[in-house]
Amino acid sequence: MRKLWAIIWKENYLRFTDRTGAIYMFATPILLSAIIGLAFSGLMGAKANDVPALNIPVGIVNLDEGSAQGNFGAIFVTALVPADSENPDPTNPLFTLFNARTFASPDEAMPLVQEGALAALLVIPADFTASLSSTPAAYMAAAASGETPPVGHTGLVIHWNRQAQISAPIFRDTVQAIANGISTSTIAVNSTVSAIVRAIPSNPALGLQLASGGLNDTIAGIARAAAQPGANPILIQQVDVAGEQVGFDPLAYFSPGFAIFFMGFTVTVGSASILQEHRRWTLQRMVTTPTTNATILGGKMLGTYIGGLLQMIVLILAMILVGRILEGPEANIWGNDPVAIAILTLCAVAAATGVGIAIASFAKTEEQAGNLAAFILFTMGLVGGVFFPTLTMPEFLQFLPRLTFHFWGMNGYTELAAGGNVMSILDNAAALLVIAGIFFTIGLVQFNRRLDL
Amino acid sequence: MPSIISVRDLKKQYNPPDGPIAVCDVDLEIQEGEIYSLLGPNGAGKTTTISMLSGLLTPGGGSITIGGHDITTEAQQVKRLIGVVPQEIALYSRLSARQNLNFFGQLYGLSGKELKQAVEEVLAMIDLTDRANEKIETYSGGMKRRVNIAVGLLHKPRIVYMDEPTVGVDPQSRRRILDTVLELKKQLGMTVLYTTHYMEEAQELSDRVGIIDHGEIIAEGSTGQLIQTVGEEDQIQLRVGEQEIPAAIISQMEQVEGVTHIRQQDGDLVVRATRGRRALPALITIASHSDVQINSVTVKEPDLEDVFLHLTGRGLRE
Ligand SMILES: Nc1ncnc2c1ncn2[C@@H]1O[C@H](COP(=O)(O)OP(=O)(O)OP(=O)(O)O)[C@@H](O)[C@H]1O
Ligand SMILES: [Mg+2]
Repeated sequence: MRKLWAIIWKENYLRFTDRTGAIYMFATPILLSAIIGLAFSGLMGAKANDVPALNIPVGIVNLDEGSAQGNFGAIFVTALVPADSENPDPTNPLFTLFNARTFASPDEAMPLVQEGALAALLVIPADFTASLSSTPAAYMAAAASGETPPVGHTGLVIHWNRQAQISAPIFRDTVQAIANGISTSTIAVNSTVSAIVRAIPSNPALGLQLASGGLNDTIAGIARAAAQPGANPILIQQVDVAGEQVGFDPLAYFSPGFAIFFMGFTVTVGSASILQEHRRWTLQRMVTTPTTNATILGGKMLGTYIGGLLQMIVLILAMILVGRILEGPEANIWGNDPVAIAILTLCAVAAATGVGIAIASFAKTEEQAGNLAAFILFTMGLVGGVFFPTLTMPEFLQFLPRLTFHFWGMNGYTELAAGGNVMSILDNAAALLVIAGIFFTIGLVQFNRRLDL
Repeated sequence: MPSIISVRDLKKQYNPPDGPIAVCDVDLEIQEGEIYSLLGPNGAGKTTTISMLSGLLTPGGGSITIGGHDITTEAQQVKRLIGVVPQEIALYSRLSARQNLNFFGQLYGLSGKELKQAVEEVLAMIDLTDRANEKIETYSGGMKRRVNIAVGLLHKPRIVYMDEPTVGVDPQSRRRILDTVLELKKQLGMTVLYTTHYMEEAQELSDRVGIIDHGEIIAEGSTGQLIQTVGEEDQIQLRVGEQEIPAAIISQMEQVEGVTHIRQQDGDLVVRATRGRRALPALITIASHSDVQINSVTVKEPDLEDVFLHLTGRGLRE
């Protein structure tokens, strides 16, 4: 046991006192996440004419039956869908940002969301306008008792494909902005007033009250209520195809990706150090001491695993800090469940270490291991979604990401960032452990075959 | 008394069946407290032999018993008895000497006070106490070699293997290393298996020398015994430079009592003679009578180099 710790300690002392190594292990991933986070937060908050032409495919189903005040749902359609779909006005940024189509019913559009042809679908309910204008009777009752009259509430639903993690939130924010315009107190008050005015012919008393200014307090109350933060009458509910509510945050997507990606290199280089130790004879020297091969190999592997774990812990903490600097003090890009984060991290590093050992076991020299690692880990990172979301891959290739520890790790962290808990990452943890098991076995078998030093 | 190291029919072929046969039917019987040198040129099979004796390489055939333990079945018991000084500098260059010693000391099973004391002792032995906290990468070649040796001595093993421990060091470090080896035997009664391709080292250190070439031990014995196998011939070198030496003079010299062989080589007349010193005056007289100018004279008694030359027809460093 003491010998095992001696080897683990030596491994990590060497690893963490290496300045070049530290740059790769910590500085690069933190900087990359910060840069990408900054780039995306710039995109999110961009002025209209900075909006790039993304042509995000979205759909709108306007079921709003409207009311005498008009059809508020139609405002979304007008704003997002060009009148002439062949020649959309190029100066309207929303038309270049989105490629929006209308659909008659959710049933018609939902399959397109599921298969990813639509990044998101906005469904405007039938009572959208109606519920924004409270019924005159309710106002009358409230006015009679001197209370603040109720403000109507309604909901918009955005269905999105869970893998459209970048584009769907852009749509959500846009819808939100339009909804905010509709739901400003002016509109709420106006529509209420016009509802009252329309009610006058059938209710002369109301007309008298209005004429005498007796309803002024009531109307002021509506305005106050509507202007209160949190009292926005339009609730936007975002629903992903799995039925969970998911928010998007570029840092929460990319930070785990980079952390996992660079941790993959650490554990592979760590595993390949066995080749270096063989070349420099320190491995042989260990073997000549009364220490079993199992202890030596175990110490090296555990040392590598612990090194990867330490790196992840430092990166998680550092990126929390980066997130708070870039996105405000409440930002928590790793979610709020430390136990789940810990479980996922333990499993992700195990899977990566397994892959690292397997890579090292097939290499003859450290250089070869380095080249092999660069090739394999870059490919895995690319396929696994480290650099761009895996949704962009054609459907028949969608199984590929699932072969990488990058995908399962990132996917787990994004779920945690979106408020998931231990239960929501169990599948990720299981997949990572399977990957760990398979590759550890490959690595051990292969190393054992070559063990004659 | 049974030998502490007993090797029978040891064989090793790398990458069989086509790879090089590095060791071929080696037998060794080394007594406790003995310094035994394996003397041989590059590629003779010294490191391969030591590796098999350390449990690093599985023998291709034969048996190895060390301190009564079979190396294949009781490897851990054997490893407790031996200290190995590899030919390579097997140290972590980014760690200090003390950190290296502490690390390997722990693998030898030392800990706490015992470890601390052992580290200080070997540091004193190699005279590096004052620089022990500096990183190995800042050391000179000789200093690295000394630390490389110290690691193998940490646990005061009964047996030490030293594989070419003086390669690439300055004369001063080399002297210190040789003195250390002699002290290990004298003061601690250690058994030393030493490999080298410097015949002077083998000659100075060893109780017995095994000459190894192409994986085979071709001669074995004390330095004296080995030299006797080439006879008592001395070698006289007469430096004559570019001069033409008439054949008549050479044959005249061959008549001198004791002279067995004369050849001309690189501006020297090389004369082999039993009791060479006695033949010398006669040789010089012949030369001066025939106007051959002799610039210098060296008389060399036979050494292990000559033994090797005699056995293989090659020099040790060819
Ligand atoms: N790992 C290996 N694979 C294949 N051949 C090897 C290997 N190691 C050594 N050899 C070959 O085995 C022979 C003996 O090598 P070895 O290293 O034992 O010689 P040595 O006496 O230690 O030489 P040196 O004085 O150069 O250290 C050489 O021909 C060498 O090329
Ligand atoms: Mg050698």
